[in-house]
Amino acid sequence: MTSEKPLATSQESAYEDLYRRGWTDGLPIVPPTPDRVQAMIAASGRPGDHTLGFIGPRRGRATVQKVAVNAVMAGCLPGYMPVVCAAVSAVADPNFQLDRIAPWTAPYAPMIVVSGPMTEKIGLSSGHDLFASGARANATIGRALRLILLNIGGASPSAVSKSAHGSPGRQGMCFAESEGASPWETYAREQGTAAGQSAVTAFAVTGTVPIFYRVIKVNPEDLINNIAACMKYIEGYATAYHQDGGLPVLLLCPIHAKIFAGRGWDKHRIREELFKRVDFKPVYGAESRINAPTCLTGGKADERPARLPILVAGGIAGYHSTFLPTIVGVPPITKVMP
Amino acid sequence: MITIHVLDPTSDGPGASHALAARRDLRGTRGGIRRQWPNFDTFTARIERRLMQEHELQPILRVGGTFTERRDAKLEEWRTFTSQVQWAIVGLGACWGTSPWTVYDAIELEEKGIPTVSIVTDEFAGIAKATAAAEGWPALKMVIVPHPFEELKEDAVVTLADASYVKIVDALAKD
Repeated sequence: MTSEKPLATSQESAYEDLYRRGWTDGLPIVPPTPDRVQAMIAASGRPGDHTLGFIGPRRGRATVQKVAVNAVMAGCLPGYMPVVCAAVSAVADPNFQLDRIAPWTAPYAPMIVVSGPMTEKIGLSSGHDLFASGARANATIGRALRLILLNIGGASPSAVSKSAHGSPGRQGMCFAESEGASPWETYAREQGTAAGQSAVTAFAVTGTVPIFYRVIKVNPEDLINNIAACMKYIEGYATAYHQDGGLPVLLLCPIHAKIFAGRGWDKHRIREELFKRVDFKPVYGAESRINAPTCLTGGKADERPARLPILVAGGIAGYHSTFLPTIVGVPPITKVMP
Repeated sequence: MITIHVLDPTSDGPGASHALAARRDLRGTRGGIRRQWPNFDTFTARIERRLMQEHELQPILRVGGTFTERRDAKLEEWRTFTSQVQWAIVGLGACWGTSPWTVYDAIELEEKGIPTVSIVTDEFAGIAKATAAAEGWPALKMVIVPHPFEELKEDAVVTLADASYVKIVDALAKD
């Protein structure tokens, strides 16, 4: 039963006290004192009792106040709250199906991709090592969402959440889509958001597959062959319908994107060429899922390539892109920030 | 140490609590079994045999669940089933998908006034109970079996069915 009465503890013992209650992800937390939480609520631009959505499987009510408590614990700055709130709205969307995927035995993790002016305002990195260490916004917004799934959604490890191994991404995956270094418009713009509008998109990813390509004379044909070969890797994944049913994400590093763009290839061309090389056929699984119009295998054949999400982000030092398989039947959810 | 105060990060679920269908003596009634996976057929066949021997039942109906396929002929078959049975055993909740859907189908039956017991493996009892609570049916009756159920040999399944029989009958016949 949730308590509205503040709990007495101390700066020194707050981590232990909250850990023992099952309220943390195992890492130290920032104690969610009323003044810190209030600052977070104020920065959201919404009243504390405003409901952002209901988080499965518990279907706990995600008020701005409860989200703020978790954001403080994760180490967020108040300025991150608009992104955290938008991320919560995205994963609370019924189409994201948290009720269903929270107990999933696969290593699913929500990945939050942000675009628009908010990314620069809060210092959300789209550069080197964007999944991991270094940038506070990347690390703590993703972690806040993990705590929200735990504390509001009730997806406690072992008791409810049943992923066999989990994933390092479960600690948090949040980054900015590169706009300055990308030759193309962002994924959110492709989904219809307006120029100058900040937005988040949630993807239910199951892992990362590294793609490395560098030769002396780079060309798009060799690069697309290399990417296709890496994408075929998960045909060996015993539950390969994840690839077919979800919308796997191709995350291009800026150099790879420029190799394509320099020869006149756009996202549409990349998708068409990938579909010539990768057979996105259903391996097995429920027909209703793999035939859904949100899947790479559903609907009219000529409409399928356009669904493949292609993002650009990452450091400019290397020739490394990443392929991210996603969960069957869970489409990306984009939400704009007010 | 200086005392500080911190706020609770958790949130309760909807909090609704619907009453289960009234239980009744099974004697002479027509029941049904929602099927899922081969070992569950073995399990329920054993339960069915004892039920028929001890309660003089009408022939028991069987139906597939509506997991992921809640439409067309499968949905029609399910609806026919729910209109014909007076109690039901539903299962098997043994994975991330079948556990919530076992509960969803059990709730639909309870809403129609049909006493129902869900069979769920211990690994997925947590999500089954969380789903039931989120749907407003925290008192939904469940009988828990070991996981991984589908890896059990046939004689172990039969032994388990015998051990579960009284719990299943009580869940269907006693408030």
